[in-house]
Amino acid sequence: MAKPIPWKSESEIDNALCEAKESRRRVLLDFSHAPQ
Amino acid sequence: MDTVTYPHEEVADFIQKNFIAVKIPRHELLEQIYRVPWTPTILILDPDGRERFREVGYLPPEDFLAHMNLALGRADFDDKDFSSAASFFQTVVDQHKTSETVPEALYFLGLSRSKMTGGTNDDRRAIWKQLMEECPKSDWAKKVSVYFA
Repeated sequence: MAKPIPWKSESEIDNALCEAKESRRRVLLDFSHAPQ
Repeated sequence: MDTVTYPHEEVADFIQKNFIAVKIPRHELLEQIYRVPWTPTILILDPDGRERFREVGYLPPEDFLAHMNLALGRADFDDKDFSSAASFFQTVVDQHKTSETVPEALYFLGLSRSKMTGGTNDDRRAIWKQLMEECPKSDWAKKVSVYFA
């Protein structure tokens, strides 16, 4: 079974950018709530 | 995306290997800052916050993987990390053979291979020949056709 994606919340974007730098990855922002 | 694509095992593994993932529920200010008038929209950012890629609209798992490999390859190519870029483009070509992203991946695979340490113009030409033969009607084949005229 797939390990669930450890999503960060919208208030953690800065932390995500720092973590991306440390881990040599990039940040994926998912805007995927229900269509308006 | 949440019910089909993200729960897919290969997608979940790919995201965790390559990204720090942030989910943004309806949020007027962030949609304004990142210029997102419609969802789903996916953005890929560098660690300095610079946007490198955006995808608008739903993608099933197979297409998501092809598009994200291509996007990361393009980002690495622009950063002149040609070896890493070639690896992403090769994945598109080898593992997503029916994807509409294959012609673009072949175009940049040829360029990346020729710019890698030890690469030659012959490497590029061989891959672009493959692009001409396998995807002759694509816009990307038209871009390389001038080299085979």
